[in-house]
Amino acid sequence: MKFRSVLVLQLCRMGDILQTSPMLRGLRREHPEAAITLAVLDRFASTPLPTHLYDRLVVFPMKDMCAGLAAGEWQAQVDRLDAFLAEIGDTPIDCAINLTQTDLSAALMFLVPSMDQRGPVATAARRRAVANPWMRYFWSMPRCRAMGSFNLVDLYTWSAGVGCDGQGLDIAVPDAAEDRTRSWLEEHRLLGRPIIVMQLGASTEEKRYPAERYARTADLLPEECGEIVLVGSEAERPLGERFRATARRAVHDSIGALGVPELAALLKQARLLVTNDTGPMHVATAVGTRVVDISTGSVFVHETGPYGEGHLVVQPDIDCFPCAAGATCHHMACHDRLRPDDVAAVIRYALNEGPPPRLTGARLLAPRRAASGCLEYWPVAPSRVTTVDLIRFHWGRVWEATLPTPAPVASAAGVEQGVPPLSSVMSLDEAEETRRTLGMIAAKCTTAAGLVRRLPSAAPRQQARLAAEAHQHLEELRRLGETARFCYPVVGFLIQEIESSTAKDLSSLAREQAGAYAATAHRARLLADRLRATEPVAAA
Amino acid sequence: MSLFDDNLAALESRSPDAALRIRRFVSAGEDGAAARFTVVAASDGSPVLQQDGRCLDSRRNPADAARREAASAGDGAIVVAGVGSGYFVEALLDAGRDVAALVAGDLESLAAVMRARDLRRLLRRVPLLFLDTVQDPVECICLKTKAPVLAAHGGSVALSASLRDFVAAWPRVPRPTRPPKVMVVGPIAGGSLETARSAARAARSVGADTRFLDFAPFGDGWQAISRSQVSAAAKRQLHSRYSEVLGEVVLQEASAWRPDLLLALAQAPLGSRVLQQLRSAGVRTAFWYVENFRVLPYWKTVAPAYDTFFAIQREPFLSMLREAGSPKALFLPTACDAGRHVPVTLTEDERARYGADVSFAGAPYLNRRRLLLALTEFSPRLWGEGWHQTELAPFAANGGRLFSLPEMIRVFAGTRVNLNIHSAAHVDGLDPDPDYVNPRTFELAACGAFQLVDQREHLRDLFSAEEVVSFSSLSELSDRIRYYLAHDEERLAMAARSRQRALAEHTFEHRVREAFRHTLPAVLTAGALLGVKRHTLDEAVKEAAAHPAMTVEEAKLRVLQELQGKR
Repeated sequence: MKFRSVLVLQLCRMGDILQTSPMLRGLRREHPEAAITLAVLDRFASTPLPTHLYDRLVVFPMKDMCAGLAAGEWQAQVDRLDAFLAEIGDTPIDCAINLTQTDLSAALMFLVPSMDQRGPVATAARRRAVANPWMRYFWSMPRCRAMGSFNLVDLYTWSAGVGCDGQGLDIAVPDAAEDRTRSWLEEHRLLGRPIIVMQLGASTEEKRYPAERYARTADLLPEECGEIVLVGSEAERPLGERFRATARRAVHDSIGALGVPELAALLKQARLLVTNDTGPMHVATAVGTRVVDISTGSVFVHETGPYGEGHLVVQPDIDCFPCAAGATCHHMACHDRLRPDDVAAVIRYALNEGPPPRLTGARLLAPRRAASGCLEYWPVAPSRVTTVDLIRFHWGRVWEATLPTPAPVASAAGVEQGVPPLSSVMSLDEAEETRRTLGMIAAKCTTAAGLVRRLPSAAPRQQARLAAEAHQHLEELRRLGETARFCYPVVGFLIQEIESSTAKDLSSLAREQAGAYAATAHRARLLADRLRATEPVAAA
Repeated sequence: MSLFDDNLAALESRSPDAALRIRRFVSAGEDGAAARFTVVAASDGSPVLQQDGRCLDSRRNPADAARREAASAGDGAIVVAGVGSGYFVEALLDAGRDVAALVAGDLESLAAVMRARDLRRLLRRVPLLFLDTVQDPVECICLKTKAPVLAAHGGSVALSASLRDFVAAWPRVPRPTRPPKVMVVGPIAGGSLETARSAARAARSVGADTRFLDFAPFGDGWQAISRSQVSAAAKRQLHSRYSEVLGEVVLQEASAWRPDLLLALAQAPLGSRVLQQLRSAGVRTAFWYVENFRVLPYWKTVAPAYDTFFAIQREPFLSMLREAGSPKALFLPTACDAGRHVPVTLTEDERARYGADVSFAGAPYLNRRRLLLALTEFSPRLWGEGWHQTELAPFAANGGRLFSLPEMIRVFAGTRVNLNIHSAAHVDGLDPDPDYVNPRTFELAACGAFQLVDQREHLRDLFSAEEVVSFSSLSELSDRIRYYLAHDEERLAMAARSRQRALAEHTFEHRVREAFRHTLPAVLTAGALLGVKRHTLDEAVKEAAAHPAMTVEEAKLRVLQELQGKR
């Protein structure tokens, strides 16, 4: 079905808005007649997304509403909300896609008339349902982040039902911004000179590689690599000061001096951006500048890493990385694992001025295209491949095979990548244990599917017993998922599917749940098979 | 008594207003020969109302059919649209349903069915309203808030387009979620200061979230300017600037609090510039000009700047206001403050201090002095500032000093005949333009005091001749003083009736409600009248969540709840 109208609710930050661009591009390609409305937060309404990607930009006045609520004027905020909804309009939208993982956005989706809703939606029963399989996947992963196989960009794209085109993010850099940046570069005698840009900020401390370490990294880079330019927002000035207090070499500080379009223009001129996982990282990928992403804290590169080939990600090799979603880190040991000399070596490698570095306490990853067109991150030798890398890889293929994955644009399709056998990273006992757990999950799901299938035709007393038994199976599945190291994704997705049901009667509920259990069993078996297939034949 | 009379008596006991209308309608013979409604017998012998050959209820077994129809009515308190032959409402009552009101489409059908059937059980239990009453948006919102479920009587609705419209509009009738926010702005000083205070109290009392901007503390500054040694022109300029500063205070307060209505009283320090800025800020403004327009002419300059202008005089003033550019000019007389203007029992000492046959409380304007000079035979006691400096100094009470409110109500209580003479500074007789009624009339009445008031054009719209006695000449006044001093019982009964009327119709609460109806959206007025509390967001969500399934309103509140505490 070709959509005539699409609403994309993206109430996150600048980086997320830029990460939405491939999805919008895909919608334009697949639904050329559709009027696309993009709803964003007021704080990020100036994100320089190319205007050809959407027809209307609707701004959610969060700042004013929060201020009004703080003043106790909640009734007046209902009027503001009404004005926002009026701007979206009351004509049912063919497809409304909510890319925001909040209950606020789910409640907003309840208020938007639409024929096809995707993402979190508040239901009349006051529950949160997540519509669309890829969106359910996205919502089920926070409990087992390490097993997350897909970048947000690809998840967004697939949730819209469009294939990956392999082209990366889009950004608009106006001529005026280019001119202002050129002036700034001239003023700092940088025009025509090689530049390495460093972005010291990030939204939370645990995601910020310390400014002093950035400074020491910069000092370790030969002068000929390029001039160091610091970028960031006004609020990040203290980070620049900390950097300058430590660094021995001269740097050019543009923190607070450039807006986002000017930053984009500057990054276009740069050889490299060295950054934490933050908005400017996505700006750099959008303008085609190589990125060295220093991933610490809760940053999970497989979900939010720099989108596009050629970038590098350096991340700590420590068990607690990445932080569990919602956890508060008090030690930030991951910062210590990333030594400035290692980061400097990665930068030199990224600039083609050094070999792939052998890192101590850290690993180097680089993106590559899978056959489905999605981007995945894989260790760059000599960084070691871990069990988690392997299992994540296989999970990725299982999800692609069992969820509706749109075919990529021909040029974007990668090839099935070779991976080392499981035995190279995992003991035979642990591998066997994992396969055994997957087998148990499959068996329990098959039983539970049989129970719920019988529900509609059973006598009322028997219905209660069947439902209780099915529930018992689900609880056991939850326990299995939580205790087995690599199996939670399949259970988490099942729970998300069951919780997201909007079935109106027992028959359709039974049909939905039986389908969900059967699909879970299939997925568990698929993964077990893949893990078995990667095993070398045991020596006689 | 006929069946109709029995029904009418039952109607009167529960719905006196509706009974009065039916009585008038029938007395006027409007339900006579050309009646559209006839009564026919159903198959089971029950009487059924018929209009133009179409029965309003089943022709086989109307009670049985009504029972079936009643079974499908939604849960909760019910408003029934259409009486029909009465079977439907009876069936709802029989089913134990809470019927909060019965809306009759017209007088004619009701009169017809009251003649045909014994409806006493129904009419004694269920309040009956006519459609035109509930077509008032405020009434309709209040009704729906009390009883959200509407059950339409099919036969009545099918034959009445007005009832059909009412039924169709019902789902869209909003529900008040909060009271209005009203800012009352008083003057720095003067007679309207007390009126402002009473208006603010009344606004609060009728349910509005009220703030009173009291400028009385700034009175000393105003007086200091008045006492300064500068020229009169310079004083005028300083007073004007002083007012501007106070106007700025109003602007700041209103911008911060964002009232739904700013109600300013006469002499409030609000100039056109500030009013314009308030209008730009989206604040509705109303002015209650409790002054004689002939005495204080500044109304011309501010009239266009207020959204609504309430005057205590009717024509020609209302037309003059419209010509001056007032978008909405309305009559709103002054009133009594039921909490402050009260009858008091005097102690012996008080009786000695305040007691008199005849008293007057007020300022010594020329016309009052002339009139009272002719009444010295009654030894009137004259309360108010300045009487000691007039030719009536021997009659001045309290040394000619200002009297307070507690003193005033004791004067009223201690006086057998209170004189109420409207001021006129430019004449030596009665006010030649008697087109307003002063606050004293209402205050005396509320205090249960007997008064003789100079004749006013609209007095009889407010009080009947059995409630307040007026006079139109000096000789008439003298005669009536004598008469009522001699007739205690009659005087006391008159005073009691005037108090009853004042409390029933002329309190500041009545005036404020009237002002709200003309200035605020119906849903906010209803919010005040229903005493809707100003909920916190969490309370509002909790209330909305009482509904079995999430509504659009609840979803909006939940969006706000998610935003609460964020920056």
